[in-house]
Amino acid sequence: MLAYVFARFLQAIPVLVLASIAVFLMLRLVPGDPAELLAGQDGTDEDVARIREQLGLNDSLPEQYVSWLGDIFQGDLGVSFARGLPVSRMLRTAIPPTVELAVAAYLVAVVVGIPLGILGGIRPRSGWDWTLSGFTLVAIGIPGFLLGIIMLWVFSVRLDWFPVFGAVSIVDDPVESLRHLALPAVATGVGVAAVLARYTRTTIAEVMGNDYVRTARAKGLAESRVVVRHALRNSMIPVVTVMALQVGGLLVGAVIVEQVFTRPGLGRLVVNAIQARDYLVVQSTLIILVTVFIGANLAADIAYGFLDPRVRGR
Amino acid sequence: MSAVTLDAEVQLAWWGRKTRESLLFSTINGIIRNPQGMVAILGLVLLVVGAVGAPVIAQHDPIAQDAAGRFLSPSTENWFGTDELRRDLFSRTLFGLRASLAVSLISVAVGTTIGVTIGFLAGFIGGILEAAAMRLVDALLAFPGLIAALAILNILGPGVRSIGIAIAFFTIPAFARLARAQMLAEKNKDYVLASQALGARPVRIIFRHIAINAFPPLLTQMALLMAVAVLITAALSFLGLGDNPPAPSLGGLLNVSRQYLREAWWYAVCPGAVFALLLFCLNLLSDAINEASSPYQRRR
Repeated sequence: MLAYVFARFLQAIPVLVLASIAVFLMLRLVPGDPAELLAGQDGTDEDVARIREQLGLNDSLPEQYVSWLGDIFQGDLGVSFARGLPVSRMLRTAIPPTVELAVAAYLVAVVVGIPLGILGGIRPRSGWDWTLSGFTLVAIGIPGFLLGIIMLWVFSVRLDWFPVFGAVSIVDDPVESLRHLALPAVATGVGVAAVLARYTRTTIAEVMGNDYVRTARAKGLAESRVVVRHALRNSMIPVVTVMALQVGGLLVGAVIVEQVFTRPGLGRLVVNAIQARDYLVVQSTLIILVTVFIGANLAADIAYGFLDPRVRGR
Repeated sequence: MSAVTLDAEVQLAWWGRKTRESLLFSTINGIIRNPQGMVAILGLVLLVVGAVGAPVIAQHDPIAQDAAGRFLSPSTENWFGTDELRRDLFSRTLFGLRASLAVSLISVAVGTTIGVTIGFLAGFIGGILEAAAMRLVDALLAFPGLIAALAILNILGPGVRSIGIAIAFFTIPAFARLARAQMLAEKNKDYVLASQALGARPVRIIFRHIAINAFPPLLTQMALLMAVAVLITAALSFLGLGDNPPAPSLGGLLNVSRQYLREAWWYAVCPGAVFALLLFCLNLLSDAINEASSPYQRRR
């Protein structure tokens, strides 16, 4: 098992390297001279020269990549050309609200999605299954930002139960923070909950039709034991993968939902940066999101090994 | 080749044809017979007709500012009401739908073809090639949908063409993973081993035997990814990264409507409902395909 975990970690390294190269090249792929782009339309020739020096654009590409990576490890992400602030400081203020939103939304998704999926999958065509079908259809059919707008209209504009915009740190004022968090978390999490529920349902329903489940029943095992030990364990393997992969869906949801509720965070940071052509900020935000995502995939692979002994041997 | 193996090969081919024909037939049959599938098809036909026929169906120009007033509530003249610039919202919704569907369809088709090919080959060949291909896919997957789209928009600049490329881009890894998983699940089954033992060539095994069995989940995934593509297109327009105003888009309408929630609820609700109906039908369809093609579920 240890060897398996170690091997997976080793395999994650080239993925990280590839992804970082992709993000690094992104700025170089933008048509035109990066230094002139970063300096903006008002940039003087000295600005361009300074940026060229700062980015090391006179060196070869591999040299640039290595020094860029070195800077990142030292926490030096450069200076935002649109706002004149260090990118690392902009990220430090943008990350906490997004993490709060993502964690809250993930809780909503898992607590609602998995149990509903299991209940629907064990008894297809039952009341639970119809509840599940209705829920997933509505939840997947109405994307987070549309749900957000509708909730904003009903609960904030009409009923005035929740604030219309903004965020408060959970450390400063937990109650107010949760009031700001409630609607965005539901808007972001419900879609992921539906995906989890639907996936859990499908795999469980499929597993329940397998011969070994019939065998387990024929042996006279209690239904609960058949479900938990035989069906659930086998059907959870793909579900765990999907759970980890949904971290991406969640980040995507958070990016858009932050815009609906005018919440500060990584999403608003990156959207504003793209609109302002603030390439370094976009680059840094992407490298963070990508690292989180690769970490989640790694976690899925390792969990896979724990749940399915056959995977370890491969 | 001896007579015995020849016989066996014929037998295998016959089984293959039998499963393929009945699988395809029963899948289509299952979708139509399933009430969900029927609703999905009717809904999609309605929406596609609306989108394709938008220039004929819409009574107003989607860009012309010619309605009787701002924020008129829905009426027989303006079915979805009017917006802040006295434009007809029904026409704007139809044309927005049209743009959205066109981008999604083309880019998903391109992405699927590339992704499935990569996944099948990686899963079948295995070894270093599989490891390399899957790490590459992981690296692509590391840029989830919208993130990949944001990166590509950052490079190519905002716009519809960039969105299309971004969608094809994130469709590839999703299909590569699924196709590889299907391949791993199938390739050690008896029927594959049998045809291997009989000396069938890899290409034949992949496309004649395995692909047929791996087909239904891929089809389900395709319907789902169409929904994702529609969603991403709308989301990017909602963020203000995909439009060129005054041309309408579903996401753009929703974005602007947010500012007028107090004055005009229909501004958000009507285009939102069309958008939700589209996603709803695509999801129903993928459900129906899934149910129709899975023998385990059909058995009950």
